[in-house]
Amino acid sequence: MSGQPAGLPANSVGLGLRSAHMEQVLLEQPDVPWFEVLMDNHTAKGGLIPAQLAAVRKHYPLTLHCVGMSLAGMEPLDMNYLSTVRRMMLEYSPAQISDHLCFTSHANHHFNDLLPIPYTRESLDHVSGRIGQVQDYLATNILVENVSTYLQFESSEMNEAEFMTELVKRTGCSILLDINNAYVNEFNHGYSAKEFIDTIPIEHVGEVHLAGYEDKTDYLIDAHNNRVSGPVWELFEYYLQYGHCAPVLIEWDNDIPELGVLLDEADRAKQIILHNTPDTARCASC
Amino acid sequence: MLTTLEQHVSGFTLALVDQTQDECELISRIKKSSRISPQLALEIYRNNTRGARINALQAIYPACRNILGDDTFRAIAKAYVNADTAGEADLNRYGKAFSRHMHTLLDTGRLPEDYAYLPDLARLEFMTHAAYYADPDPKFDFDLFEQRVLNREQVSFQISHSLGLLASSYPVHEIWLHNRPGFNTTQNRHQIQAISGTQYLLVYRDRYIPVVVSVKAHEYQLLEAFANKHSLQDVVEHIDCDIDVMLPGMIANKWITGIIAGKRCNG
Repeated sequence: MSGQPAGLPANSVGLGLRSAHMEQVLLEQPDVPWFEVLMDNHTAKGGLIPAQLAAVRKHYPLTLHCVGMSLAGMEPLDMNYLSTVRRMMLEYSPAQISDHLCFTSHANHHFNDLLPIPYTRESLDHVSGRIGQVQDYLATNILVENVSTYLQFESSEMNEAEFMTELVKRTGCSILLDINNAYVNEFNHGYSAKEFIDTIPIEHVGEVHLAGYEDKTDYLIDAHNNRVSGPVWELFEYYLQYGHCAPVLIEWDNDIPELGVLLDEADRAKQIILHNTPDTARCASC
Repeated sequence: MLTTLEQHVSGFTLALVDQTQDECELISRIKKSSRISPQLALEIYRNNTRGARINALQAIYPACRNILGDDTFRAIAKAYVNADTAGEADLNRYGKAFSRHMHTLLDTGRLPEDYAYLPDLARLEFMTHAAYYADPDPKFDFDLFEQRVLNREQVSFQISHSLGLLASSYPVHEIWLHNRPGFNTTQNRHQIQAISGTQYLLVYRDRYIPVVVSVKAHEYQLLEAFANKHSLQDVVEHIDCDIDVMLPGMIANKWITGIIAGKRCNG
């Protein structure tokens, strides 16, 4: 599943499908090439949610974005959760499935947050094994997203980009490049987000996320409650110089605005893609 | 022996769930080069978890929030979240014990007696929320029912996955209606009257939408008995109602959705 996944148009800009916009999407069918479904919010088997998702699926390709696989967790993989992913794959034929490089639960505690790990060889063995199990069970390769972090560990033996590069080599997974997260980490930890982009195997980026952070003056929080910020657009332009054409998502999960605001953000992303992707390089890596 | 990763994950999560733990060992493993101090980093992660859960409670309990006001609701929700360290993987299922939490606040005088109806209101709100997310029900199998009755088997009935039952000595149905988002207070100014006796409420999902209806005591008792898997024979013997009249209506309304083996009660 490297590069552009089947079913999603090259360089297309999709939107997160949020319940606040569901009726409008179904009624107006806006010109959006695809929608991302946050799997954990849509697991209901009955009622309105599956009916609406099925209706949206008739008109749009979908992707499934997960937060509960706990790919770096120490507990055995949650097979109930994975069976739900598999059920939703059968029901909605998503173009791709993704989760994060983190853990979300431990010892029967669920944190509803993306918790980081040290980037060690031991962690690499552990996470690679789990990604392999997930991919075998789902019978498809997944995308793994870089997360925003608020701490780093002394024991790390490599940086995040090197860790993700090794994961791709070992498991065949793709990278979900969250440019906002890369920038938040640059600001919070002082390392270069451009270097992060330079290090990861761009040809294995299967999707790009753009979102807004919350500025706490001294540090940034990955809040997904704002328009995409200036430095993130700039970093997006930097990524585009590689001429890669992975689909792009505008993410907005909190303080959700009217759909028109998201469409504006998508238009801006499309304009930036148009002006920053040289014709000769366009889709060169697909 | 724990691996480095296990030590990290255990130490990190313990620091998130139990702030009384000595964090020195964990903090010594966090790089100091970041703009964020290790202590602040842990607090950001705690806040993220708390925030996600409080947001979930705000979404599930809008009427309670409307009555208490944002600040008081948030304080109560925060206390609930702090006490419930385990959380829930699926936030759509989070907060089931919020009603019990309100009971505790009332019992210990931390919530005034004027709010004595709030635990029942919270239960009603959770039931409507759960009904929205409930699994679909099968179609009632009349042939199977007939066959089991002919075989003189102890049968009981499966109630809908979306069905919730609430008996309250407060007018919680009216309180809920008046405090739901979008309720027009200028057009509906009548006062909610206290009730004498008990209000029996039933929550279910009608196609896509959760519905709350007031039912008679014997209807409530009948459904409650089936929810507890009591046999049809027991129900006929112990509940004073015309089962031949009531049962078809309950099946037609999809409150009763299937047949299961019934159990006989002892008394």
